[in-house]
Amino acid sequence: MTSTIFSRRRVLEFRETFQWSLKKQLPVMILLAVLLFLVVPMILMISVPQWIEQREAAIESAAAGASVPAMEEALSSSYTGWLTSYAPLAATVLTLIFAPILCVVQFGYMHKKRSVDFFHALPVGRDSLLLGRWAAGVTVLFVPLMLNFLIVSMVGGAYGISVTNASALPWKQMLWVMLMGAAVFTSCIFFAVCSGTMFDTAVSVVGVNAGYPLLLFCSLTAAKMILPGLDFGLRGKVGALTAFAPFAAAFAPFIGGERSAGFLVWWILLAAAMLAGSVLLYNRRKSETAEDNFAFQLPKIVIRFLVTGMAGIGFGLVLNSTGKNAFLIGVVAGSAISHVIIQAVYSRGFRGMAKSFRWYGVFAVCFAAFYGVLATGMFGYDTRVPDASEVQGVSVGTYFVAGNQGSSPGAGYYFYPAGSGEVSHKLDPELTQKDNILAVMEAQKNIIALYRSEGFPYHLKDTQGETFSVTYHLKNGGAVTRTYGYYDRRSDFVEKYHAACGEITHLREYLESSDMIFYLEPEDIKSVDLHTAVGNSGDEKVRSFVPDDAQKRDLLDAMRQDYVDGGVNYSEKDTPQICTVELNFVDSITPKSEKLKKLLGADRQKIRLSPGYYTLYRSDSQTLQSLKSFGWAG
Amino acid sequence: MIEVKDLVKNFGAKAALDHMSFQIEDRSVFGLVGSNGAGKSTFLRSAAGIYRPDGGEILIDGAAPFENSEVKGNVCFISDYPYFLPQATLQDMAAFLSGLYPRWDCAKFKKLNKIFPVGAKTKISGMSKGMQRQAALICAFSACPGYIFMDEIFDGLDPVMRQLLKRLISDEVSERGVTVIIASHNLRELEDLCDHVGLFHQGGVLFEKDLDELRLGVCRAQAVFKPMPPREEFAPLDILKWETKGSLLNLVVRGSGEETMRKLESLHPVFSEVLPLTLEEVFISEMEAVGYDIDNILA
Repeated sequence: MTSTIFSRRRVLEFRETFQWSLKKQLPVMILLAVLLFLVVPMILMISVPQWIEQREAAIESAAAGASVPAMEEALSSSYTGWLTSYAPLAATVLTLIFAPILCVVQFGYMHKKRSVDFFHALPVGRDSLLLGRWAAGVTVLFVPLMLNFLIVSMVGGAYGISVTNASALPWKQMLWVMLMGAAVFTSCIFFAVCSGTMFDTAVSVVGVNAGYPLLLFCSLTAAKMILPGLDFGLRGKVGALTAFAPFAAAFAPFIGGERSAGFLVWWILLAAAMLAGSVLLYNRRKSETAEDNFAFQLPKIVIRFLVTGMAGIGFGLVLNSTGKNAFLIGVVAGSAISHVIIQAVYSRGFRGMAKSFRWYGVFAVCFAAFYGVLATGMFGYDTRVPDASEVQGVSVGTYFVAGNQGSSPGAGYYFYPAGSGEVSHKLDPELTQKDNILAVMEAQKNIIALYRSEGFPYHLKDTQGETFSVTYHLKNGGAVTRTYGYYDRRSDFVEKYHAACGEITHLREYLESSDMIFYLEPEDIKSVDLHTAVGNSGDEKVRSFVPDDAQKRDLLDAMRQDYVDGGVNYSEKDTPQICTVELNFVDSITPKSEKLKKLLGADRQKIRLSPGYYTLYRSDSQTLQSLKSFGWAG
Repeated sequence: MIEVKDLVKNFGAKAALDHMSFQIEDRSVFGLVGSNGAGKSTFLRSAAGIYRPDGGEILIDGAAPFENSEVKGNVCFISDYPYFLPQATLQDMAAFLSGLYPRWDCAKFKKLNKIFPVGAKTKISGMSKGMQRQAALICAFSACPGYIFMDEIFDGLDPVMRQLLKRLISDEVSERGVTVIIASHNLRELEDLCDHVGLFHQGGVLFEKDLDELRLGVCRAQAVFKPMPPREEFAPLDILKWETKGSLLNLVVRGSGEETMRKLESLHPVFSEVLPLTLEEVFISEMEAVGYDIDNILA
């Protein structure tokens, strides 16, 4: 009975707080709605007639022989692109500006003794007070977003435009912005509860949002530069780098294309955890901590560690190229200076500075452990090569390695779902023949020995662009990946490194799985462009051809043969290039070959490819013979 | 009734309230007096449920006020610097508070608005200190709580408003049985209003008494002796303050006037008289007795 009365009372308190806060924030909500309208639906209203105009002009020019998509298809494509890039980006920027402002307006009372006296003396429980104000805040953020994305849908509907894929639907974009808006707002509240002043709240929010991603990035970069074989594959892992930085995470889909289900679930859970944490801490918060630095010390300790580590390792990496031991000198200098600065900011002076160096000691111990573990091979990580009997297959990546004749990333290397700009697969050659697997293992062992001979324990070296990576797919379903950066080293090291890579890149199985021409069918080719240099100036001449089915088949067979023979994309020393063949593919490719189906795995969706460029160096190449037989090579 | 049992409140290493125990009866006006930093404001904030006690407890009608909306709905606290919602008018404040205080009385709010010369539609942030206090008083009385706690409420009020406030408080106590606690250094005003007084010092309660009893319990005595007897002969008197000017002896003595007179007469003075003390004189005498006097401070 008592608990029923209690909860009914709490609901009443929540409702009163929510309604009052919402009423007071109504002007902010209207302002946000108007600004969102100006930068989202209004821009769409201006853009659609322009898209139509441009398409009409393109259709007119199509009469002269050019091929252009139909109006409806083109509008859908433009609309989808706008919905997946500009609209959520603009809405995110505005929402993220308003979220911290709302936090200051709604929760600034916690940081002034007079207002704390007033609010904490009211007959309202702290949980109702916080949740009521939080709910009002998210309502102020959400309602304008919902209104404006509704207008966007209506504008699209009025022109009869649909999206080309379901993930681009306006409400899905809106939900993403709403989620990150709520996460940012809640994180600001969390730090407001932990802090005693709004200045400390702001320092904490900036500290976490900058400190966490940068510390992780710097640490992983340094780790990769110390330990041969280690590569966390930071590219495309924006989600992990921004896992505790909501401001940065809100832009992850636009920076790194990160919008996986796991990422969304993570942010839903983290936002809920931050809200629960805020309520819990607010109930424990002492009223008298208003105007102090912190109500709870833990965020201060964590943020000071993040900033100290980030600045230390970051400065070490910056100094690294200047000389031996420069990295360690940079780490010590950068971390010590940043520790002093952040401590001085938090303490508003140098009071308690000497005592605070106990926490610097924690960083020093953590860094020593980090560096020591990596320098000594991370418990055998550097030398691990799986037993051949455990391995089912091995994927090899030899990107940018000199002497590699495979096509390089960007030249049709990535596979995209049809109608999307997001990469779904990339082409890594996979070797399954036992002899070839053993050859890869041998090459890897040679490279390991090469790195060990350079000096052990390892120390941080500068990285260059060449990368050699192997991924062993184990029979138990696991995988072992090692990636070796090619460092700026002695010339005999470079020769041996290239020799080891060459043992793999010349394997037939490797070659036959390293380029998309081995995965496609003749009907996937739409047209062929021939690029030839004219005269000594090097000016390029391009001629386009649309081959018939027989020509497509001949060309593909000839290119495959030349590729295996080393006649494509591979130049012997001082051999001049003859021409470049550009293969243009149809807009939507249905996987037909078993090889392509296996590569795409379970999601055998329609894909699209960027054009592939193949440079011919030998006049006796079969491709060139085919082109001559078609009458194309002049 | 307010029961304070072994109440402790620490700010860092400093104990602002140090194992404090006493009771405040219903329908009383309780004056909190004490030196700066004695713990008066801390006590009021603890009683209003703003501060969570670090030890002991404070009970209002048998329940702790901290995070207890039911108790807080029956308590109004006016701090030494009252806070109002940003850009709010008195009308806005009434709209806000009426939804939270279960016994909010709109008719009373209108009546008080007429009594106090505060514009209901004027922004409170633009008002003078005294006007802001009046606004806070209007809100507090309109909420019709059973307990009103006021910190330095007379500060900034003109003499007419002070009289008005005193009358309103008296009416609230007599008509609605409200219990009022006022912390103030303005002992003259408290003397007129309070029926009980508690003297705080260094986080503890030196005493908590009925005001009349307090005034009757301490008195000032003047006597002329020729010659002056040695001090030992005054031992039967509980002397709080001893001062001589030639043959004139000035004393502040704990005890009733009659008893003090009788003991003085036994020493055969040339002249003697006993005078009642003001609350301020009682305060100073009691504080001097615990070493809080100007000579000690300057020393």
